[in-house]
Formats: sequence, structure tokens, C-alpha cells
Amino acid sequence: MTDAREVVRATGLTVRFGPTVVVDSVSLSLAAGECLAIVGESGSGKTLTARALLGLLPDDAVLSADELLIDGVDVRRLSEADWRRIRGARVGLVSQDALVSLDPLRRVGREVAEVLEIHGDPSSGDRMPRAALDETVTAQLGRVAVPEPEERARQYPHELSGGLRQRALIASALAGEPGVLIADEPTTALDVTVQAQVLELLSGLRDDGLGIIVISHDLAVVAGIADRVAVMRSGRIVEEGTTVEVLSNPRHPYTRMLLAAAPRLPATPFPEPSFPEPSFAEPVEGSRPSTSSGNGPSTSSGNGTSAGSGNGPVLRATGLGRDFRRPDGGVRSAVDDVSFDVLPAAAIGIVGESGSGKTTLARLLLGFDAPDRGSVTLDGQPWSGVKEGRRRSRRGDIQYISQDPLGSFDPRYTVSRIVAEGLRGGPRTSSRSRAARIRALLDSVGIDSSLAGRRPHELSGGQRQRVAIARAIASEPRILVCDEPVSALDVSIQATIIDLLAGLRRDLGVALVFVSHDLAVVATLCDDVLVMRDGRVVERGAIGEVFAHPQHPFTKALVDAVPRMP
Amino acid sequence: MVFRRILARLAGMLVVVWGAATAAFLVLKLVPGDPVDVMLGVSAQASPELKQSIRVELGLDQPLAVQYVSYLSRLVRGDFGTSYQLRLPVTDVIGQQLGYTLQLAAASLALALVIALVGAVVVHGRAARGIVSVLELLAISSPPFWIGLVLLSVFAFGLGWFPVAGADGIQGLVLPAATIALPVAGILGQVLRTGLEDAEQQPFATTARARGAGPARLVLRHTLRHAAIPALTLAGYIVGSLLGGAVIVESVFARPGLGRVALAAITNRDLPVVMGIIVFTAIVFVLVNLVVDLAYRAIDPRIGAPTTAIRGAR
Amino acid sequence: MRRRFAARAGLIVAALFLVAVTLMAVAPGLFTPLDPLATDTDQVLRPPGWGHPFGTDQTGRDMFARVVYGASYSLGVGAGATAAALVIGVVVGTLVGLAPRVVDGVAMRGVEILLAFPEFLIALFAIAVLGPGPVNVATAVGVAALPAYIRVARAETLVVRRSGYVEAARGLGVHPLRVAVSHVVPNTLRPLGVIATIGIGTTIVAAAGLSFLGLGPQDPTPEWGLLLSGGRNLLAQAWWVAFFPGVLITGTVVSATVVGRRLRRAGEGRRS
Repeated sequence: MTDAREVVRATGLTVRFGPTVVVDSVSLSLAAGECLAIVGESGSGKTLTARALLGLLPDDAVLSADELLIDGVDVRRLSEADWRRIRGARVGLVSQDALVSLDPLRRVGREVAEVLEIHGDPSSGDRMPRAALDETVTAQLGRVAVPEPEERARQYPHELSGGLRQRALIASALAGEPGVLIADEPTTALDVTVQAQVLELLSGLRDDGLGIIVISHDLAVVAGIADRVAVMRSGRIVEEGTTVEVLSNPRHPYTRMLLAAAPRLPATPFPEPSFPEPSFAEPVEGSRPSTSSGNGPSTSSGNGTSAGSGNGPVLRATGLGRDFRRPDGGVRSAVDDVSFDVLPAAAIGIVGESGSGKTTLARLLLGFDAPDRGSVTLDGQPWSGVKEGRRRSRRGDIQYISQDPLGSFDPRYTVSRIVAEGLRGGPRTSSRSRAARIRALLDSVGIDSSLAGRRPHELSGGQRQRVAIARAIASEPRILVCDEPVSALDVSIQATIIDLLAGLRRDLGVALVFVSHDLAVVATLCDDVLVMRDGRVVERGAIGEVFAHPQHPFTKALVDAVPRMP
Repeated sequence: MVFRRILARLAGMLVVVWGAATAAFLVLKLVPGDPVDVMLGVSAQASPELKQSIRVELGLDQPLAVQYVSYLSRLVRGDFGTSYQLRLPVTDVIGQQLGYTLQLAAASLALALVIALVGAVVVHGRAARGIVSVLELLAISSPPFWIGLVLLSVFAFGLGWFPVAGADGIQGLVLPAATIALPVAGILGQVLRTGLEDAEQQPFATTARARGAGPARLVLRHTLRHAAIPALTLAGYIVGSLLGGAVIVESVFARPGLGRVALAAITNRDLPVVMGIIVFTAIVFVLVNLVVDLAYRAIDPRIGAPTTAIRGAR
Repeated sequence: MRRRFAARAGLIVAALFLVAVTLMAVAPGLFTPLDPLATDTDQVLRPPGWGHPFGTDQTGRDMFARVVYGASYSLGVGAGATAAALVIGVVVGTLVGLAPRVVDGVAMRGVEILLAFPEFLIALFAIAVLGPGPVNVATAVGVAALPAYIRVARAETLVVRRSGYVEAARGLGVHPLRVAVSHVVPNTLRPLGVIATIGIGTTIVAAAGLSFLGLGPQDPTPEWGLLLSGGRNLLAQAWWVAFFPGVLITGTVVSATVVGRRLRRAGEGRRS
């Protein structure tokens, strides 16, 4: 691969906004048939670096470089008109979410054809007649393995599945036959199984001689496809090397931190969970159909055993079902016949892809939505099917952490007022002891009391989630239901929030129901896992067991699809 | 499926027109004062017998329900009644004047579209856009009758380029049309420009530029369609502005037209004409809404039915 | 930087203008010692100059005094009608937003039909029903403004009601009444306040338009729309009679819009 033609060469690439340097003397090179990954967290400058290679920096950005060659062309002094001849023809872009990255008002085929309309036939540069255009579009969609390409070309982006859309976006970037493809978080919006397929497609294109630069926040995603990795932080490349080198023997502390923070599926044998008792009341078997049989609701906890006492489950779901009407008038069960128990201080992961019904399940558990079938009990007392007025006084026992903490805060409230709202259920206290309690709560989630007067939009993503957690634990709940609480956060922040949740479980004995699409995150935090698909639990058991020896084909596919570090 | 939707649509349109007709009828029946007095004029010294005979002739002595039914049945047959003042069928009164107003409205709309598009699409650069947005703000904020007076005093009295009043030819149309068009162009330009700027920020615009698309292609093939969607929501408002503007402009420029008819009917309490104009306006709006709906569907393929919970939280 | 400076300067000018116009409405004597109704046959149709900054009309009345005294009616109608429409709109809109879906659907259909018409046209129809007159003009423009407030109040209620923070408060066991008082109402009012600020301008223009057509106050009352209409016939000899009242109307509306937009941006910054 070393003799291959160099398609990108940059030295001393610097991007400034006024006096602020956001990309600082970055040097990189890429050969044909090679894949370079640029990895970094938000704000690292990785996306601006990619934009610089396309000449698409924001208007107020200033670019300078000692060398900047794209496909052999020095692009440093190019006019906008000259850049337009490079873009699409020599370098293509694939970005995150095809639903918005393809023009939603235009047919997929028109979007793929656009680059050909602009640049003409890739081999000759001649204007292409309509028939030839259509033929090429079909061929390009076929090249990225879109089935029935002619039909797909006539559809609109929203009519395609996420995976097909992303393929169509790749086809639209490849139609001009560029030598370089810049893929900016190309799989972030996709489910794991689809993500794996798209990565495979990109790898195949690389093997056919395309030079690819992948931008990602996720080391694990790029591990499978990249030949070399460059780690960026605060505008600089802090480490660069072959993928194996960087991942197995990271030299820079930041890379090590990223690697350590990245949640991953541990190799078998799975380490003993930190909590000896199993959290399922029922005996765990490798694979088990989701029926409400098992032990059935046990009577031991059914007769008014009060909160905090006894070993009965904190939360019990029995045969839960919830239906939604489809656009065509049919009925879809978002949740179907789901049963499980959560013991005190247990941690249960609920894993599934988008549309598997895991969020609907979380809402049923929280009593935000009422089940069409089955029931939920909290501390042995009925919880679903109870009037909200009677449920209100018990809400302090079950609390909720959402994916979007910002949306869960009244924008007018300060941090301390937000947390104070969580104290409402508790005993009435003087305003001084209340203030002290708020300080203590903020302290316990690692929020400095100097932030108490801030409003939510003035906090970082991680800080917001910490405040949400402080509010949730204010009422000393017995169980926390977390719906994708870390999926919107950077890896390093993700790790600290997971640590915080694990610590709360240890120190306060609060049980966790942890809903996530991310198997690796669930593996680091939970003892047991339910795998959901199409509203049903397809597999359940101790986490090490399920991930090491998945029984259901879907679980197998899910586990196999998780990007792994070498 | 499609057929049923069209039927539902038509039924909805009829309901709106019927609602407007009923509202007009009821409200105007509540108006204090005897319509016969209005007809005869304040100064007329008519005997009570004469008044009573007129009342019988017009059916005003009948119970309200009977009057309502006969009003509706006449409406269905296209009979809007007779003007108290002009002693002419309302349809004739409206019909005679409609042409002038349509001409004015069409000219105003065309002018407004041109000005808005130039301001939103053609003007580039930060400083120029800033100036355009200040001009738009001024156009939106100025009362149309004042714009008309300013245009008159500068271009008619001052420079003498255009006639001061009347409806003669293109020359006489320019200033009235400009008076209506300027505020409309201001608001339309603003919405288009914001729509274009929003669309330019979208990821698909970056994708298009990464394919080598230039600014012209970006606007024509991509962002203008996106900007047209919020602009379309203004269609009803714009048509209303054209009609409302006509009332004022026809008065300022002493032009004949529906606006003059409406104003005279309102000041003289000529109720059949007022009702006729309300129903006519309702019909215009129903048609405009139909066209707008079809246009939405043509522009945005995403319009369709999303999943709904059977009894989900609203 | 320069852009921000220009925006800030514009905001300050707009705010000062509004303060000045409000003062005119409340205490016109502060601005001019002259009587807006006093005629002077020696001073007929004087162009703007010393003594008569806005000139005089065909009976020698001082246009500056007439414009200053006109502020009270225009601003009074603008602020009064807007405030009434806002209050009624919030009550009706919030109730509709919380009402069962059938009620909501029917009410919103009606409101949407009304919204398709511009305020001026609705005000005209209202005058057709109520008859001309200064008080009726105020009522008419208030009625015309109402549908917009109902719609926004309802939409905001729905947005806030479905928001994450209302769900969060519910999850914390906060009583619904308290949720309404501490979250729903304040967050609904904020955007409505902004719309009302801009709405004052629209209402003033609509009211002046009705007066211009002779449907409101009658001569010799100094009212901006009426002053303009009086200037229509004098355009050939005396442009100033129609010009200055228009400048005041436009200035007031522009200022209200600038201030309102600034408030909206402040609100958006807090939200996102």
C-alpha cells in the first residue's frame, strides 16, 4: 500500500476564526486504497479539518497550510469556481444522517445524478444525456448494493430505510468517481447491525482503490476499517499511527484515556458481576421466551410489604403490552408480553435497536403511559392502572433519567431550583436545610455549587445530565429508569456518567433499569440484560452469559455487529 | 382513497362557505336599526304603511328561520339579494367592479413577487442583505395608505410620471399596485430570505456544495423549494392583504373597484352588499387554500400520515 | 462587531422612540404649548419651519401639535385592544389547548379560518357589523387581533404540555395545578408577550386605516389616520400635512417590531 499514489497531502494545515486557532498545524497524508481515521471528541477540530479538505469552511474561517494537495492539485490558492471543479469530481463527502444530508424534497436518483450534471461524464467530462444519466445512477446505486436500484432512484429519502439512505448518500458521493471520499461520522445515526454493513461497504470501496478519510468520535467504529488512526484533541493531532499500534499501544495519555473510557464488550470469560445476588427473581436460563409464567407474581411481596424492607422485587412487570395504530390502520404492538422483576439495588439493561419498543417499555414502567395488557407493580403495590392522584405521592420511589436532560428542565429555572423541584415530595423542611440538601445533592453528582445559579443552557451536556441525576435522587428513589442517558455524550463524559450511576447504585442501593441501544455501555453497568426486538423480549439472562453465548439469532447478530477493538 | 379525500375536501370547503354565509346573516340580523330606514335614507319621510309594504316585499316580516332558509336557498341559486342603496342585484354590483380589483390584485401580486425574489435571492453579501432587511421592515411597518400618499406626492404630484387618480391603462395601475405590493413584498421577502438562509444551513446544502454545486444551482435546485414552503403558508394572508389593500388603495387613488363598493356598503349600511362581499371573500379563501394545499403536496413529498397512538398522550 | 453595534444602536433608538410616543400620549403638553384644535387664518398651509416644525393645515392648525395629541388615541387603541386581545386569547387558547380533542379540533378550525384573513379585513367586517365610530374601531381591531393570540396560546400550551420538563415534573410527583402555575403558564406567556409587542404596531396601523377611511373619529379630533386622510386632498399644495402623521405611525410600528424581535431573540437564546 506504500507505493500507492498519494491522494491527499496536507502539512501545517491551520484554521483560525479571528484570533482563535481551531485546527493547529495538522499534517496528514492519504494514499489511494487507504483508509485514515481522524478520531476526536466534539470540539477537537476533526470536522473542520475535513471541511478544509473540501474547501467548505465557514465564511469567517481563515485557512493556511504549508502544503495542501488534493489528488495532486494544490488547492491552497484556489478560487471558489476552481474549488467547484474539485468538489464532487476529485473528492466526495458522506455525512452523518442521510435523512437530512440528501435533499428531502428531491428524489434519490436526482441527488445521485447531481454530481454528474455538474461535472459531466466522469471519464470524458462531457455533458451526459438524460438516458445515460439514469443508467449511471442505477449503476452507482447497484455498486453500493442498493437492491432494485431503478425503483429506489424514483423514491424520496424518507421512503428508504436508514441503511439504504446511507448507501444512497454514498452512491451520490461516488458518482463523480472521486479519488478521495471524506466520511464524516458515516454510521453514527445507524443501528449497530446496519452500521456494520455500511462499514463493510466502505471497506470494500477502499479495497477497490478509493482513498477514504473517516471522521469519528468512536475509536471502536473505526478500528475495523481504518489502516491508520489520527487522534485529534483541541485542534492538534496528538497521536498518529497504524490502527493496531494506536489501539494496542497508545502513547499519548489522551488516547489512553479515550480507550479506557470507551465502553466495550469484555472478552469471555466474563468477570464476576460486582453484585453477587442475581437480580432476576426467576432462575436465569440462557435463553427464555418472554412469558409471564416463571414463578408468576410471588405472594411474598404482594401483601403490602413496605418500601425498603424485604427482598421482594422493587418493580415487577407482568405481561406488559402496548399497541399503536399504524398509518395503514393496522395495529402494531410496540411492547408485547414483557415480564420481569427488578430486585433492590439490581441493575438491568434493556437493549434493542431503534423501534424495538424499549422506550415505550420505559414509559410504561414509569407510569407515563398506561399498558393495554398486563400490569406493573412498584414495591408490591399496583402501579399501572392506578389513578395518577394516588400514584403521585409514590412517584418519589421511581425516578427517570432521560436522553435529553436539557428538554427536561424548565428553561427559566436555575440549577438549584431544578434540583429543589425534586425535593418537593419529601418532608417539609426549613429553607436553610433545604439549601444545604441541594448543595449536598449537587456535590454528590460532582456539580460545583458555584454552578447552582446557572440556567440549563449555560451548562455542558455532561453537567446537564449530572443535574438531572441530582434531581432524580433528591427524593431517595428505590429505582431509577434511565432511557439512553449517555448516548448524546462524548465518550469520556459517557464514562464519567456511567461511573456516577454505578456509584449511586453502590452507595444508595438504588436499582437501575438502563435502556440503551449500546451493548457495550450496558455491559459495563448492568448485571442482567433483556434483549428486545419488535416489542418482545427475545433473550434474557446474566450479562456475561448473554453476550458470551447468545442463543437467539438476533442477539448473535447484535453482539457480532458491535465494533471491537483488536 | 384519493377520491374520498377529494370529496371530504369539497365538503370541507362548502362548510366554510356555509359558515361564513351563516355568520354574516346572523350578525347582520343583530345589527341595530331598521334596514328599511337605511334603504330610504335618513331624510326620507316615508309613511309607516309604505315602510311595512317594503318590509313585506323583502320578506323582512317573516320569522328569522324562514328568512334564513330563503336566504340560503337564494344563495345556492347565486342570488345574493338586492342592494338597498343601488337597487341592483348584489351579483351585478360585485360583477361590475370585480374586473378592476382583479386587475389591481394581479398587478400587485406580480410586483410583490418580483420585488421579494430580487430582495431574497439576488441580493448577496452581508451589507446588502442588511440594507434589504431594513427596507423590508419599513415596508411591513408603514401603513399602506401612507405609502400610497407618499408615492402620489413624489411620482404623481412631484415628478408627474403617473396620473393622480383613475383607472386608465397601465399608467394608472402602477402606483396603486406598488402601494399594495410594497408591504406584501416586505413580508414575503423576509420569509423567503429566512427560509433560504435556514435551508443553506441544512446538511443537504453542504452535501450539494460538496458535489461542486455553485450558488445558482444551490438556490434553484435545492434551497428555493425549501424556502417556498413557509412562503406558501403566507398565501392566504397575501390574498387578504390584496383585498384589504384594495379597499384603501381604491379610496386613495379614486379608482373604481370592489374595495370602493365594500367601503360604501359599510358606511351606508347596505347589508345585502356587505353579506355578498363576505360570502364572496369566503369563496376566494376556500379556493386559495385548495390551491395552497395542492402546492404543498407538489413541493413536499413528506406530507403524509405519521403513526398515531390509539389513545396516546396528546 | 459593527453589525452588533448597528443592531444595538437600532434597539436603543427604537426604545427611545417608544418612550417618546408614550409620553406624547400621556402628557402631550410636555412637547408643545400649542392647542391642536386652535385655527389661525394667518398661518394657513405653512410649510415646516420655525414655530411650526411640521407645518400647518388648511385652517392654520399646527400639525406638530395635532400629531402629538393624536398619539393618545392611536396608542390607546393599540395598547388597549392588544391587551384585551392578549388576555382573552390566553384564557381561550389555554383552555382550548387543555380541552378534549373534539373541542380543540372544532375551535381551531374556526380560528384558522379567521386567521386566513388579515387583521385589517376582519376589522373592516367588524365595523360593518358594529357601525363606524371611535370606540367601535378599537373593538374591531381588538376582535381582529384575537385569533392570532388564541392560536399561539393554544400551540404554546400544547408544546409546553408535551415538553420534557412538564413530564419531568409529573415524574417527580408535582401536582398538576402546580405544574400549570409554575411551568405551563409562565412558559406560554413569554412568547405571547413578544407577539403582543409586535402586535401593538399592527393594531395601530389597522385602527389608523379604519380612521383613514372615515370609519373612526371625525374631524377635528387629532387622530393619525384621520390626519393622513385630511392630507390626501392637500397633496398637491402641502405634502407635509399627510407626511408627518405617517412618519409617526411608521416609526411607532418599526420601533415596536424592533423591540419585539429583540425580546424574541432573547427568549430563543434561553430556550436552545
